[in-house]
Amino acid sequence: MFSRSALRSLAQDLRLTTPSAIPSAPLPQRVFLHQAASLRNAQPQSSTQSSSLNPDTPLSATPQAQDTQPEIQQGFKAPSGNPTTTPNTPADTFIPQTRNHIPIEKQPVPPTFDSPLKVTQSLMSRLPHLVGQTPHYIVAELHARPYLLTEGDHLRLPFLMPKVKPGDVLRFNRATALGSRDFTLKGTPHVDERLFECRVRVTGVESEPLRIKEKTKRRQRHVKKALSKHRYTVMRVMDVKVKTPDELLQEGTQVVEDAEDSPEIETRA
Amino acid sequence: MSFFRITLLRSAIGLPRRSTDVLKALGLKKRMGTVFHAVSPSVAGQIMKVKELVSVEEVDRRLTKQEVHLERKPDPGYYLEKSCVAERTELRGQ
Amino acid sequence: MPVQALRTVTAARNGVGAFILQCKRLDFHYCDWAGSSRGMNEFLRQNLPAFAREHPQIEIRVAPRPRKHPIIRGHFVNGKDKTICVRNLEPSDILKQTLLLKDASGEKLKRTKKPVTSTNDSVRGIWSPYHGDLRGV
Repeated sequence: MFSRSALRSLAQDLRLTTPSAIPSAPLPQRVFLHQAASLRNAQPQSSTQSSSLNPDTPLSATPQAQDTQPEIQQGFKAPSGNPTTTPNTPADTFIPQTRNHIPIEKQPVPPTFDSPLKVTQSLMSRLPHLVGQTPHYIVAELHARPYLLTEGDHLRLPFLMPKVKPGDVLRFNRATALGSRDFTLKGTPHVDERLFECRVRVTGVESEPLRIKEKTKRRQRHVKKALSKHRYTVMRVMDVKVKTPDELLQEGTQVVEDAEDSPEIETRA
Repeated sequence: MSFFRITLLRSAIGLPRRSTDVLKALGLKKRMGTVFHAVSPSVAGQIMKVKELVSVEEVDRRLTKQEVHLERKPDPGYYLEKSCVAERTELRGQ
Repeated sequence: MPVQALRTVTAARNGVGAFILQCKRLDFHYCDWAGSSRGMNEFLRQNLPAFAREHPQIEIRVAPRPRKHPIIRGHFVNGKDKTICVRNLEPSDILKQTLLLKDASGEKLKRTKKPVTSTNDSVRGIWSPYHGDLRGV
């Protein structure tokens, strides 16, 4: 068993090495974590149990748990009545519990922007070179898989896209690169979706020929046949367009000074 | 109240039985599985036993299974701009 | 810019401008007497009018085919057709087969490895060993 001082030093080490809870999480989620931390009574039972079961809990931890919890617990118990269910939190501090709870930014819905696009001075000055040179290509990402597309390309996705019908027009809004013959706009890691337009039209659903995989076991005449016939969504790229600086300024884009991680247009050597 | 977020990065195959038992006690069954435990000396000792196999972070609360899953879920990268029905009614109106 | 020759043939790229559904006609054949057509007859009465109303671009023909199993035959823009036998199926299953024919392109089923097929010239040009800077070996 550890001595208390050794444990404390271990906990401090952990705290030092891991400054934030989830380093890769996006900013709104981080905010949401902090808010949840202030209302931390999601598991009032488990915390009281653990403190009673572990008499060796560090002194630094126990007083915190005891002096903050009782008041908040009552405040939340009164409206809900059932302490085991999670309290009715507002929409921005909603905790996803089941597979159906997917935040809006992970769903294929049109995005809403609350701040205007910020483009650096250097990008704005070099954008006309990229826009002027046709044709363009785009490396669009669908579910984190890249597809290099040009206008008029035929795209057969490796999956069946849900809730789309033939004739629907989709917008691809995640691109890692956009380019022409001599210029490439590289994203960090993604190009902002307001800089370009990439439309595709769903043209139908195709399927592969029936595949039969014969499964055999040793010393047995029985052969199991596993059948598979997957279906794929087929689409056609309608246009790949980079917006001109004039269009960007019309949409209210702000021009800002150069920063470290801003996207840049690279010229081919 | 803070929690250990423990992820099993390497399997305990080929290690002494004690290591396997400690992982079982922590609730770690397969690689990349994540469990949350309240910070306590006993859990810290268990982590020390298998510190070569796991990665540990300290978090404010237990994340749900779906939250852990959503950290890895990529963006869809598309959205429906115009459905075929809307386009047809548009064309008919012209 | 590379020199581009005059294109003599225009390739069909359905969906870039206008979009035409590849399924142009659906034939529904049934039999009044046979038991294998029971689901089909019910489908023709209940589900088909709504389906036809939703898809005005598809021509729909209903014809008897006595003493035979019920079938659906789809005719496609590329001149091919596909036939599905729907004997002893429930109306909901027959609707699924109808939607399958509606979404199909009429092409023969193929197994492809690459998701993108392009008829365009390469955007970045073709690599040449005689151009560009020398890289150290």
